Amino acid sequence: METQYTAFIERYFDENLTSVELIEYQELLKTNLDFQKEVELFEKALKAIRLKHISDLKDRVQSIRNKKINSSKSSNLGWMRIAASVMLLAVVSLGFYAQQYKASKLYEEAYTPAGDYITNMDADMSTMEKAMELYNKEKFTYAIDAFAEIGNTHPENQVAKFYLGQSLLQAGQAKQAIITLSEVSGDYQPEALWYVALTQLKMGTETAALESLERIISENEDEAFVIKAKGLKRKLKSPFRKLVL
Amino acid sequence: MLCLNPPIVLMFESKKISDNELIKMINQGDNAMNQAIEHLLDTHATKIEGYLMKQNSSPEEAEDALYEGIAAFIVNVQRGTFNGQSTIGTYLTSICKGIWFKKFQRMMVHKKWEAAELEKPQNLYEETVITKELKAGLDFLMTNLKDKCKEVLQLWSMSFNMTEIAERLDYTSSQVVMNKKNLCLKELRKQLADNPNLANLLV
Repeated sequence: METQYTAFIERYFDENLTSVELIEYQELLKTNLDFQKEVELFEKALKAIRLKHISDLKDRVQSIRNKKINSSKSSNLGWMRIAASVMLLAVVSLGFYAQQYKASKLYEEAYTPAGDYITNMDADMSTMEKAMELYNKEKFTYAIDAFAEIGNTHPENQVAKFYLGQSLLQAGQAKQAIITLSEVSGDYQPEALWYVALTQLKMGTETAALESLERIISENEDEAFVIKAKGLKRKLKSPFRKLVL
Repeated sequence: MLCLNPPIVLMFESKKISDNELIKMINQGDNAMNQAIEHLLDTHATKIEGYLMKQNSSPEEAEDALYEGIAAFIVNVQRGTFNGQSTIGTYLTSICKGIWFKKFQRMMVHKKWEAAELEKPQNLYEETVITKELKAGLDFLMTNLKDKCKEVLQLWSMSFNMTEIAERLDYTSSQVVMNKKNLCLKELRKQLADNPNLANLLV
């Protein structure tokens, strides 16, 4: 196992070679087959250690989650009993259902802020990534400026338009958000329309919301949003909703 | 095992922990690290898994990428390569996205997420993803190594120097650590040389 090169290679991996020795190392790596094979074993050993560490951590994460789920299941049994009693009382109260079908309630159920589809964590951030960083850090006023600037220089950039709409939404500028998101085309369009519909719902313009949902369904560009749109449309048009509201 | 909606109990238990606190907890190891993992799962799992499934991932694939992503994130914190330039949420999501794509490459339902973007070198996670076969191979390779050996090699693989390792693991001198590391590494190289099939998994 030990060869004439072992100590030399060990010192390389410990970053203890002088600059002259480094040149010698590179030369041997190019010309000497035995040396190459031994270096390869070192590299594989190092890789095995790193991967084993990750694999162990991965098991640890999984086990923590499994424990958490199991313990919450047993705790939930108690909660479920309480919830059952509460539900029983609630069933007799029509007002309870009325609350469930309120537009604001439906909005809250359906709305989650749009995720980050952009940032890849490279050292050199593009203007788009910088704008996304502002969005992720919830500095929406600055994000609005940053996305608007990208939109001004690259009006064809639909991603910037989408996140400009999202930032406007988060900053409470609902009307402007609807206008911006309605203009989004391409891959982001179904999701943009989804947020338009939710915002219209929140603003109390249900007919407009239904029209936006209908557009998502009829254009059928993204199955995930078609399913969401159908679900929300069903709730909005539910006869029971009309009865209790 | 996938849990898309956090149970009510979990939501009540979750308390706000800052990114800096989380990093400290991870570096403390043991129970503090477990609590940090629990918090990462509570705050990011649903969002990340949901996102991956939206990209056509199965629940099992999303779950696997999430666990491997959190593991890679912890390693980056331990190595000191996570510098807090972005929030942990953004950073972790980026790692999980990359691992999922690498592991379960496939046509996307829609093209929001360009393959070219993902192929940029990022150094956020290992080139090799952990498959079942690789995991079994790694477990076998390490069977003969004692726990102390594994600890020394693990810290060495994360670029800790001999003095730092000596301090962390209570060795009397850096030379003792150096000798130990060389001995343990020799044993591991022997295992690799004796098991070329396993060694080939590490290409």
